Amino acid sequence: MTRYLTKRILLAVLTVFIIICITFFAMNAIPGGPFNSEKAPSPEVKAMLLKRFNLDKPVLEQFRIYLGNIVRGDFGISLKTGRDISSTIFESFSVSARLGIAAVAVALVSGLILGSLAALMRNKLADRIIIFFSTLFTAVPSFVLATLLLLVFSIKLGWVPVWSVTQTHYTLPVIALSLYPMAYITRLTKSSMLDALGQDYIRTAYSKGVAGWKVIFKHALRNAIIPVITYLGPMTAYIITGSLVVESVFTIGGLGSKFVTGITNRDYPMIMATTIFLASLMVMANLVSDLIYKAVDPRITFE
Amino acid sequence: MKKHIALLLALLLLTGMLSSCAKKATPGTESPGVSPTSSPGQTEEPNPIPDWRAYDELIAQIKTSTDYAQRETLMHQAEDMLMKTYCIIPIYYYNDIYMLKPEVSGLYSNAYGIKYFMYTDAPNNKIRLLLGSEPDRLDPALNSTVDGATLAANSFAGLYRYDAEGNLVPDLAESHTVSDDELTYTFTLKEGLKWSDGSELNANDFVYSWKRAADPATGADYSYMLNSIAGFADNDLQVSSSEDGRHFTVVLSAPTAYFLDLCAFPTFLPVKQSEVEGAPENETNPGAWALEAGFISNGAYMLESWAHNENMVYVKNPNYWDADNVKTERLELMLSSDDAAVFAAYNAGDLDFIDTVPTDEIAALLNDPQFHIVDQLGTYYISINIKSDLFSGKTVEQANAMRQAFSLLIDRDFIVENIAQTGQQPANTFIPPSMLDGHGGEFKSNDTLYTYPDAESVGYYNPFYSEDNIDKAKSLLESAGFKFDQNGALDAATPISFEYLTNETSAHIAIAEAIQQDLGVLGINMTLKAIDFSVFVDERKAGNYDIARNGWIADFNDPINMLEMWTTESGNNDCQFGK
Repeated sequence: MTRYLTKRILLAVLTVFIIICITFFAMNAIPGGPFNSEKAPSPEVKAMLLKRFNLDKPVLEQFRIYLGNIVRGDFGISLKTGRDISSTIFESFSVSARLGIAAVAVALVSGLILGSLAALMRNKLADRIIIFFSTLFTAVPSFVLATLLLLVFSIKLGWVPVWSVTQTHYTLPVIALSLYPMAYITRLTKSSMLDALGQDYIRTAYSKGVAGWKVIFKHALRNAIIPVITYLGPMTAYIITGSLVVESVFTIGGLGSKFVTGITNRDYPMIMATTIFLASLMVMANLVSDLIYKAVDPRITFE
Repeated sequence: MKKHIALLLALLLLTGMLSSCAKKATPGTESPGVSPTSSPGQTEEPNPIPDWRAYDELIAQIKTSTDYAQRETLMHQAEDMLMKTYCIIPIYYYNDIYMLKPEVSGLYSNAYGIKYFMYTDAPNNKIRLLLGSEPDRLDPALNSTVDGATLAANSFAGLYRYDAEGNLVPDLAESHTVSDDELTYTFTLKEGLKWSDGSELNANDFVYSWKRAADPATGADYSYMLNSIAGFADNDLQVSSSEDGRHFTVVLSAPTAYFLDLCAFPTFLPVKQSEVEGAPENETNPGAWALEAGFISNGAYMLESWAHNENMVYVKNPNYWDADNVKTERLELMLSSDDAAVFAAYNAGDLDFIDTVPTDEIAALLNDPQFHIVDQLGTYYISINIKSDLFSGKTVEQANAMRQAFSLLIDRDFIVENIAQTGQQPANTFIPPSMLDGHGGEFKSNDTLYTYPDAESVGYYNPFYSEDNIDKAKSLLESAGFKFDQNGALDAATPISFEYLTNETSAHIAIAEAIQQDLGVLGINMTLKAIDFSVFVDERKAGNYDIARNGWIADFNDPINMLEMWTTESGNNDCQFGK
């Protein structure tokens, strides 16, 4: 077990290192630069800025310096705003994570309930309605959904302001973020629930006189939930790192937009830090889910 | 085994990238095909590139001229030289739009796009507004954006400020005197000036702030704005304060008609030394003191809170010298670049002021009393690379004739009506209207000193397109050696084809497409290339293009700002004159 863990952790570090290398050199290979603007600064100023951020050095030398810095935990400052990268990522991630965790919770609970309902009322009206909407929500892109929510609840009904300083409204963005995974979980749950309901042990349970709700929640659902858990891991990592579209429509200072603006601004330290952060999160999520498999299914052995 | 293969692939990828980077880092390796057209070996070949030394000398002469009338004449000469090349093809003069709720009064903006909120009258003494997304820099010396300039103008006060009529009025200055040679300005500051923390503000603060902004180590994009002050080149700015701190003296290297304009420019706003140098990272990150709310300022408002990428709240600064006349107590800013969300917030009543609307809404808003259009001092134009292969083998006159033909074919009115849409004026000069001539008049006018070549339309040509233009363009192209077939299109033996470079903004692309159609009338084959902004700026600067979209909004109200950018060594010489 310890041997396995050590090996996995070393592999994870190697993976992240390879990603750092690829990102660093790919980023330097794309044309453009961080100090390009419509009006040119004087050559002295530009030279000084390049020197300050070591951008006047050969790329390999820059890479060496960068590795040295991140080993010491120094991710640098944004070339655009001068703000510390680590704290920018920490602040915006905490916003995105708060939203994302709420969205995952909503998606999981409602997806499981709706999926089970659809399975139990198979081919009845409720099933058809649920499946209609879950198909719809998996098909509609998030920018349409987010704009639609804004139109209905903020402009037509006026229940929540489009934007306000005094109160932050997370209801609409959470709904916008959760509808797609909710719909997906509903469909997953329905099909695996149907699968489970047809198994012998369910019939056995019924025939032994176990109460109906107990059969469903204790026996059927517990088995039906396994594919949902598999999906939940990467989905959670994806949602808590933020969505550019939802953040843009609802004016939320999350992490999603940092990935994109970092690249358009050629804000090199920001590009690196967001990539390293996302890569580490994904590698960790994979490791954790592998460990959970072992806990769930004792038949799995490490090596 | 699979793992080994994957690792090997990753390493291969890495080496590939490394070698491509190494190539990029080597200086002097230029790809063939973009090399200049002049080749010293062949003296027979005509050279389409004019000698540009006369222009450089002219600009130098303007910058040292002490006679303002003569200076105006010289500036007209410079614009004549520029326009004669037709490397600059003006399209329209910029204007600026905003929407404002009728309950708010007293808001005004100036020709540089800066909005002033301090003398507004609003319900609950509060304005909720949008200027753009997260601002880059709040340190006025480091700012280089229009929204940042507005934030600076409302939270910092300088020697002078613009009033609602666009005139300069004293802000922290009480008065000023100018020496007879017009080289020394002495400002007397108002009495009892304070920073927002209540500490004393005096002339020493200006000495510190101006020297700091000019110092290359500060890294201010706009440091060159201080280059009319003596000692700029040696990083030893000739600014000083009197012993009592009431008087601030500036020595200029040449008379500068627009010097008071500069005093209202964000780069010239004062910052507090102890606050700036108190930030621990100041040495390596000069704007570090103004990265979060709560920093010391001296204008009508101070920043109370800043939720990054969400909102900012400015509150009234009780220590501002004119605080008694500041009625609006609170500015709440939405930080967003999502036009649709911004427009929705305005319509839902969550915002009182916005300065952007979705492009497809403009047509419907033109008659709305809440929709405001204000003139802006700048020109949208296209620049042509004088060294483009398009002109190789031509004489200077032939190359000029080709470019003039392009200009004649462009229907500027169509572009304004259908793409820009906010009633911009089609342009026939590079220097926009309402730019001052430095001695009490407007530069773009026919007067005793100067008459434009097309006197009737006060410019270099009639900016409105007519069918005659096609024939004129055709004969110009014929004079440049091009042949036409019986359908009036370019003959296959003498084709013209080139690339139009722009960044990926839909309005810019739409303008390019309109021009493409206009030029297509004579069979000119123009292809479009839209690229990422950061790359676009680099390519245009380096001259790796034929024709490119361009634009300039003046930094101060004097034509020299738009003329000195075309000297050989200027960093903004996108046409590559003299290179």
